[in-house]
Amino acid sequence: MDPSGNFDVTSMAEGELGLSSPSVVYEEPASVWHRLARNHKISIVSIVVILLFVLGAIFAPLLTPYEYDAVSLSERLMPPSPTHLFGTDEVGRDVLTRMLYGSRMSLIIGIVPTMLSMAIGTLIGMTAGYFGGKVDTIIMRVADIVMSFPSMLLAMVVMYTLGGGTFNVFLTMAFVGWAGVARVVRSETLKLKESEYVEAARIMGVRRFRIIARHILPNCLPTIIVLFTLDIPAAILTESSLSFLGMGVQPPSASWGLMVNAGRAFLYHAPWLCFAPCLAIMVIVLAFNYLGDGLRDVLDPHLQSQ
Amino acid sequence: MTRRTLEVSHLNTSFFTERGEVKAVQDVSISVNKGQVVGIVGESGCGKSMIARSIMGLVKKPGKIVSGSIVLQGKELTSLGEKELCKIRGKDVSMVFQEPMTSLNPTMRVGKQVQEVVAIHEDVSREEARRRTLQILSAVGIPEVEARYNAYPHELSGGLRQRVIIAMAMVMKPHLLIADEPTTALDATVETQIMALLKQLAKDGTSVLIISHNLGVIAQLADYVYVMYAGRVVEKGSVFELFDNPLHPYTHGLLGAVSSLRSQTKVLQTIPGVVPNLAHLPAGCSFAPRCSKCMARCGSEQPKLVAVNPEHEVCCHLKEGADSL
Amino acid sequence: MSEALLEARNLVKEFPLSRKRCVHAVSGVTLAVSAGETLAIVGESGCGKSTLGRMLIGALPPTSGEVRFKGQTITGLKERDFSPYRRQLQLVFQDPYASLDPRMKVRDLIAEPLVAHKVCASKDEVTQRVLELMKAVGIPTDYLNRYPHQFSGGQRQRIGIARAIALDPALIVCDEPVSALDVSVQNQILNLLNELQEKRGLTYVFISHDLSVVRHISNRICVMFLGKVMEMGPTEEVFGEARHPYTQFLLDSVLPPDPHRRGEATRLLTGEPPSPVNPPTGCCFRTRCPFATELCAQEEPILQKTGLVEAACHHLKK
Repeated sequence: MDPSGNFDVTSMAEGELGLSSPSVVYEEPASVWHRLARNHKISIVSIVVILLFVLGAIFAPLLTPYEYDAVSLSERLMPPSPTHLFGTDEVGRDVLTRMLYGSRMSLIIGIVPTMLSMAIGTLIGMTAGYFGGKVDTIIMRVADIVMSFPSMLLAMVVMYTLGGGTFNVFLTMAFVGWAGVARVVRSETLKLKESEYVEAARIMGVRRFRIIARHILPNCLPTIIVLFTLDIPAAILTESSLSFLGMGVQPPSASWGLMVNAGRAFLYHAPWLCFAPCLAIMVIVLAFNYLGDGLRDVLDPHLQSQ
Repeated sequence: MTRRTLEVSHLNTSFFTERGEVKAVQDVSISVNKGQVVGIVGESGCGKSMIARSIMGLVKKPGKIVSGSIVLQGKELTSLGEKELCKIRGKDVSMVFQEPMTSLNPTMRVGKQVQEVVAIHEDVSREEARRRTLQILSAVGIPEVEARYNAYPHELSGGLRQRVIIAMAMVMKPHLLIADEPTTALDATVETQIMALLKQLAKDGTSVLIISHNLGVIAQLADYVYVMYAGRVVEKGSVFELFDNPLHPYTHGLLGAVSSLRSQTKVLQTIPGVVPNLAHLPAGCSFAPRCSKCMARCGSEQPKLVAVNPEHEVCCHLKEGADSL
Repeated sequence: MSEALLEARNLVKEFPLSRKRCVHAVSGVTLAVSAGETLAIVGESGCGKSTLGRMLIGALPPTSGEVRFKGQTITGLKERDFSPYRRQLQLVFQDPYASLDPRMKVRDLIAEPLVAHKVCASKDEVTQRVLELMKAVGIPTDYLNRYPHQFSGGQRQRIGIARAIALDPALIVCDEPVSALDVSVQNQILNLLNELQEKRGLTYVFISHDLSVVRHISNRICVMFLGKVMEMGPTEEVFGEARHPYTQFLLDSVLPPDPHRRGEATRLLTGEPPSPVNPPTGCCFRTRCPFATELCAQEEPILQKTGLVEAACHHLKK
């Protein structure tokens, strides 16, 4: 039992090793998946949902008999029916088909720029945190400026000057996203840098880059993973908003934001046009958020042996 | 019986984890008389703090009092609800924790924190509450009380903070004060000051239950001592009986470890082996795997507390024969 | 006196708080450690003993003063020039929970110093050395692939010790190595430290607040208060008859585990410890000292040698 009053099963379970008796009751700590399944069932559901979306995106052509841009003027604005589960749009394209193809764009835009901003942010954050001094001050001031700028506006400005298109969306979102990551990683690095085991490594004569690679990065990783899963839905939302405003993915490519934008005009006559992609956005965002929360609880090293 | 402040009988507190029931406290009975200082001694994880939490009704989930009774001044506590417990905590029974920094609210002046305790439990005017606060602060030995009243916790030294916490615990003049490692975080010269204060409180009629791993603290303060191992009381007795004539091999080992540190021996005495995992306690006596005097029946049969004399009971098969005489 | 293994001359460490104020953690400490001995540094929290320990092994640069190892100045060296001394001067930490990276296995933890200094030619040799070290500190070798949280406090401290001795250092600073452990385990670790000293000819600087532990393990003792040395001398001499009033109070505050010796520590130290940000003039102990006079406030006492013991007090018992 520790003084703070938290009941700690590990400290009670661990014994002192006498030289004469090396028998300690040894239990393999449960894996991350085990602990997720035990304590965060909703995270497992989230993983299944995300996998379904990913599979849907990959196998879209096999799952639907329609083409995403197949116009059929005789079937305009059809309500949901067995032939068109989510109905059709103003030029008779199947909404479900377009959503499946749109999920490709949404997921790629959710994941790729987020990975990019994670990598950049981690590198910058660790550099700033570990080396400190002027490097730190300059980097963090730049990050502050990027963060205090309304990100949507910034994205719009970049998109406006560079023009729309998938690649530019990537660039814009990475440019907006790194600062937040850098900040979190920096504060984590600062904390770890002061930790006793990093001091121990220094006293043993371990070089700086090795310390960063062996001690700082692995111990930052849980934070980065959690940040990653929580930033993906934010990226998906940003993409949706940009596309909705007409600055993101350009038609005839399908994306959820674009579909909501297109459906806006028919909100009264054909609400499914807006409703279906909105539902998709909501479900995937929720799934990623729940997964992130679950991982945050589970990846804390201090809880690992419980 | 009339002067009994606390009577804990056959208390069992367990934690229900996914790996099964962890018995933190097993069949523990403790009594504290008025003005008596009772010590509980044991190493980390022996369940001594969990007894304190059980008495205060502060056992956290997934922990639970499974059975047993806790009677404070004739009132059964285990059947009370949270609301009724709140009325008793701080008024009839108070607790002092180990860490003097985290037990105080860092954003509140210390005087206000003590005064708040008065305001919670009694409907008194603000002047009256303040008067009592100043009185208790000076009673626990805080110099320049008027000035300290307005200090924030971080402006005080560790010793003064611990005094403030004791003042908070004592302001309602509780029948029982539970002190969980009250001096562990303090320096040696401050430790002696706090111990003198606790001694004084007991002299003034408060019953004190002191929990510590430090045999020195127990030897100096307690009138009666309980030794715990793996959730059970393995030996109890008056402080002189216990230190002069330790009967349980574990008590023997603990005292030997401490006193060999004071002798000139090169190799210090230790207790070999491993503290058992509470989730998988060995059958029979929990200390058997580490015991140098272990017999066949120790591995299968849980020994019972038997009295060797009116002031001394021990839980060991070695001594059970003496009882039958 | 024989040539000292490690010498500290006038070490000062100040941690700035703001532009004008700073914490005077260590204020002018001079001491020497000879090969093979155990020097204990004793004092209460905030007396600067841990800071001093870290300066002695070059883990913390002093504000002024110098440290010499085998006659060579090691203060102010660049990382690369310091590297050979790094192997000679090691530290055992107080907290066996915080000083081991929770994400590394025991084998990697113990191998870390070996790999950092490239002392082994091959991976097999590293593993071989790790196994030898585990045996030397009493950790069963089949625990090689476990993580720190699967060990108890005492075992973790053994791992920490294995890391410290991995490079065959000359001197190890032990920073409160047993204060986080249970009583019966403390003794196991102290026995281990003793055994290793004999087998490997180690020199220890043993930092502790616990006088009974210090008495057992050390040859010489150095009592610190508020960043300064109050008294220094052979352990038995100091324990036998303390010269400095502060040492006397420290000795008095040891609680004997014997109810018959109650109330022996009747002399209580009054007052509050002075602040290291704003230390008193003259003798830094005078605000708590029952013998303090006018002279103590005006003039700082220097260490004076009487017999084998040095003490810094104006009112030394002659």
